[in-house]
Amino acid sequence: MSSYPEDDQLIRQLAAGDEGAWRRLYDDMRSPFRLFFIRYGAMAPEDALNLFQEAMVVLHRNCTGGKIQPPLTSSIKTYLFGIGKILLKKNGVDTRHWDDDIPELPVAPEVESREDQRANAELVRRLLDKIGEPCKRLLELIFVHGYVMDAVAEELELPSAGAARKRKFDCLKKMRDLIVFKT
Amino acid sequence: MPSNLYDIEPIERYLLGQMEPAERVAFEALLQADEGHRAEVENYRRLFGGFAAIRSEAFRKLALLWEAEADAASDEVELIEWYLNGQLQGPGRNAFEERMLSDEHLAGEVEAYRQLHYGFSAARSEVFRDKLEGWESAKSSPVALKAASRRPLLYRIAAAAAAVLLLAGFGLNWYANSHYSRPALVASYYQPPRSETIMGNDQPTLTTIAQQFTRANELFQKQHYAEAYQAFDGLLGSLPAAGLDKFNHQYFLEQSEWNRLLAAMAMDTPPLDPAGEARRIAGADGHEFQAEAKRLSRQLQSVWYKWAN
Repeated sequence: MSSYPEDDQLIRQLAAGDEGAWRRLYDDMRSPFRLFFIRYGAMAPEDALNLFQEAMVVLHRNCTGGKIQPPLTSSIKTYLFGIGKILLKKNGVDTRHWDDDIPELPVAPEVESREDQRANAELVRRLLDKIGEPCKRLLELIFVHGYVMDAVAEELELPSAGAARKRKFDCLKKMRDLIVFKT
Repeated sequence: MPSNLYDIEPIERYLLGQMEPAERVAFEALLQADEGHRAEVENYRRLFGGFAAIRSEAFRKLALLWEAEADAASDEVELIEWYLNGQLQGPGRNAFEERMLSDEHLAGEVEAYRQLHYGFSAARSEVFRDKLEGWESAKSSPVALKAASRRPLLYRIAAAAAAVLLLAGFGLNWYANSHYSRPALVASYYQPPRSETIMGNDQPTLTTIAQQFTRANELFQKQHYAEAYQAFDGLLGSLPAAGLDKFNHQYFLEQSEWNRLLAAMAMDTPPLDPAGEARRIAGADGHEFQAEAKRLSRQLQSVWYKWAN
């Protein structure tokens, strides 16, 4: 039985890319996150807001990338605040002496540098431009916009979800071969 | 090993965290034993990482949009509220108190909200005290008297709350008018010209500009704000062709821009948007009045300014 049934439900919506759910989470967490980091980290209010934005991006990435899945072992709030602390640690801030109630996370959130992210995004954009428009559109729908196979089939007028799935692997293969060609 | 010998489907499920624990362990064992398979997984990791990065970039843009729509103007008030109700503790509280020492505007806002805070707290206590008395009298009075005893109780509660609110209202009104009315702001920000700054008798047009500047300030000091506005505005128009050295040009430009803004603020119908001009100067790095303009911008956005004007 899950310790956080409501958050489990929410994480499913977030993982599915429900924009409304993300917006509500953003609005709900903005104040408590600011208070926490201004209080314990003595951060300037603007810095706390920047950190909040970064932490939300990491949470989004981990949710949509399947790194956080129900049943959760911590609440989403704990997870988000934990990401904030990890981001600060990466910037050399020592958070060990904080007298807070955010435990060490059972699953450390993956925090990638902005530079690495930009480089990865650039690589994929370059490859997408080389595999033809139909493949590009299909892979963007799946991996960028989070469409499920049924929706992809409908959007691209393919006969079935199975056909969309097969096309997806063909297109991925095209991209993967371009990586080998480059390296 | 050629890439088409590996099945993409399990690789995708592995990289996207969609494998059950047992399947994951078995798959990792497979990778351990096959270097080609490991390389294949790494290739796809780059691809999926790139897609995730593109998705993150899109989300980041969305989050910036939400932030722009968030009520950032109330952030400062929220911070003050946390401070006053004790939620802001530890290092954050110390940092906030240090900020108050160096930021007169913030200290003023905290003081004003403290009055509100105490006013509401007193009103709540008064209401609760009367409620206790009401419960007490309800216990000791005969049933028939209960209805009759309510009227004075409610009356006293309303009177107490009204008195507290009235007191708070007078205090806040005084605070708003003495600190945030347009005349009060103009008076607090205006600085008479520093005559020693005007140097360089070898510049023929300097005397004319200096005279224009002195005249504009005289008009300002006599509170002929519309004429002062025109005079500063005219001076700003003459400056580009005056051929002054950089020092004097900068001096007259920044002084006149700032005083023109203050003159506009003092007018019933300002010929320029004071808030917009204050923001512009606040954003002008190196401007002599940048710090003042930042403070003024915040004040023009505060509830006190709206109250007093």
